[in-house]
Amino acid sequence: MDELTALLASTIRNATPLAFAALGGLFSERSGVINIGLEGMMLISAFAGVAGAQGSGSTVFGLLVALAVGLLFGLVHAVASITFEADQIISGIAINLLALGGTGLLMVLFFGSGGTSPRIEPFSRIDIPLLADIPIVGAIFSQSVLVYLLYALVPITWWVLYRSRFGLRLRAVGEVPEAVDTAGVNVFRLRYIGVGLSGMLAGLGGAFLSMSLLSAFTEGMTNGRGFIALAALIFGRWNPVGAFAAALLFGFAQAVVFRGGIGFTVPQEFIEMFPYLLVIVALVGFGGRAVPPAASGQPYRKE
Amino acid sequence: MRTPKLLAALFALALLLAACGGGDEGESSGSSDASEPAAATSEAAGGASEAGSEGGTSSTDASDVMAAMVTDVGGLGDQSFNDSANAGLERAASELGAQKNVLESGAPTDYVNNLTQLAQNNFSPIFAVGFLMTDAVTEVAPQFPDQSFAIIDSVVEEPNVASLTFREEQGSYLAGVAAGLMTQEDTEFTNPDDKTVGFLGGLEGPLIKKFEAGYTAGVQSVCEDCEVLVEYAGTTPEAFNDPAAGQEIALRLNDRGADIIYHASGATGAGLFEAANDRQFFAIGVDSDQAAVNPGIPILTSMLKRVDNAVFQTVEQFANDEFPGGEVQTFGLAEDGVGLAPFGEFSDLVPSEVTDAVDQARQDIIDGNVEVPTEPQQ
Repeated sequence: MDELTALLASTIRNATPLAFAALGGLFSERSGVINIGLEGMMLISAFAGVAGAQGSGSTVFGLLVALAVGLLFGLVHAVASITFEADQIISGIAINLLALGGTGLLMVLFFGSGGTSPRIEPFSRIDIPLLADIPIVGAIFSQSVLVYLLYALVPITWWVLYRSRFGLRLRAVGEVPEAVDTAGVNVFRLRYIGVGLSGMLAGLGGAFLSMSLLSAFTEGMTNGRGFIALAALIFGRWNPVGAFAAALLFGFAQAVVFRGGIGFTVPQEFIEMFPYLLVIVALVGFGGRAVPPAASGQPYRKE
Repeated sequence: MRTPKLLAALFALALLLAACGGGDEGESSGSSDASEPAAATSEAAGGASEAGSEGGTSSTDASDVMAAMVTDVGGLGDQSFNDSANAGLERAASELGAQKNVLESGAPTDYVNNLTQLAQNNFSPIFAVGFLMTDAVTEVAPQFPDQSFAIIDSVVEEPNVASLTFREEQGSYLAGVAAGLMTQEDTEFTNPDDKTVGFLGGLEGPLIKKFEAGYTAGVQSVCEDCEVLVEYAGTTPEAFNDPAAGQEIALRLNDRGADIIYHASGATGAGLFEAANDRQFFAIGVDSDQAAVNPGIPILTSMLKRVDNAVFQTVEQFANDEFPGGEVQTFGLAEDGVGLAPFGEFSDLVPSEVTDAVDQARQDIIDGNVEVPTEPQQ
């Protein structure tokens, strides 16, 4: 495999979990609910997918379990932050802790020991005929089915957000919930849907890690990817295409480090801070300030 | 205000689970039942090949020895040194009739409490498993001067503490000999035209550099023009827990020609095994016989770190009133503290010259004819 193809393939592998979780964060934050629990939602779903696949013998069933558990954790965050008006940051932290400790405990209960779970049959790689044979860019079309799902989800998310009635209302709820409420639309319902979708998409990111990229669950395996996804979301300015591009950029940076020996060496420490550095750059307004949805972080209370 | 209550409950639940995650099995495995013969069955988990000082059963009545250990946050079930230390205690229980107790640590804040609790219940010797407990042992041991402590993988300078360290570079050297010879063989996993092997480290630091140094020296002792590609997964402790990163690095090393990759990277190594399985090249495991728990995956062999032997021997010394308090014990090949696992599933592909060379290297190190470096040579 030549160097560029390998680099591209590696970039996509690194970017996919980030992109799923970033799209998840997008639905939540666009509806006005900050979601720093993405990391925990990814982790618990990564476990749930493997446990489901292990228990049923079916990888597809495992994926459904991962989605259901992602949704469940999304709803926990929704109940805390929407219905009970809790601080969204604290609720997110609680979810991250719950997932970290919970998966440790569940590993012992399900598989008898911590560490790494038994292996499952992962989603296999599918080559798209003809396209996969193109030099270099062929790597884009020689991926797991979950990556193709991601390719589809980016434009779908864009369309839903900017072209559908639901998307218009979702964005409005994130900016001026009072106006939406006055128009007779249920703010709470919209936010619940946004946060629920968020959990499912983050769950897909986690499931990709444990069921496609790898074929087993390891405790703590998300290793900060949920936070990097959040960085991608901010750097991508809460736009699905931007977030996907940012995820690709971060994935590329990781690929360069992991794959070393491309003529020059980049200190690992630099790449570890790279996503966060870019977020700071974006937030201080380099190339147009990154402005979050106006109502994000604020619970809505009916007057 | 309903909010604070709900959050508090959520937080409490999260913290409770975080604590349970690490310490769940404490109850069952902690039952100190020395007379139970069933304890002997779990011995198989510890040692693939029964090594060490057989027959050295003590003349003193060992049944009044109350040995105990505290795991680090990895906990039991880590398939690594916590499990291995536990296996050593199991063996002490069955062969020496010692009582045993295990306390698991869910968080670093548990170390001092667990050590103190065991000391107050008159356990001795008490093993602290892992260098993460260095400070805790330094704090607790002086408070119980009449009892004995031992720390794994670190040095604590107290008269009642034995420091048990391992010569990982020696075992890694044997892994290097095997890799350096096998990369020249023509098998379904190796390509004789490209004499390149790889090393995947976890957290970049002196401990893992020992593995790298020994491995590289071993490779070069049998294949002067072989190249050893070295990559580390990161610069934080999470580098031991990122299989996705491990996979990327392993694939990269394989792209660059490495057909045998040795890892010293904890759970990150699971990613190496995925890559080895995907691309069909050889991996070499670490700490325990990883081929045995990953059937079907091309794992050539594993570097063994026999924490179980070190623990067993130390309990035995204690029973014989020879406890090495205040001393630093190093466990190398000669002491059965490190070694190389049998070739196992893929032994058909390994010519006898390779096994002979490994045996010869082992003997040379034990006899002192070969000095293995502990830092990579530049």
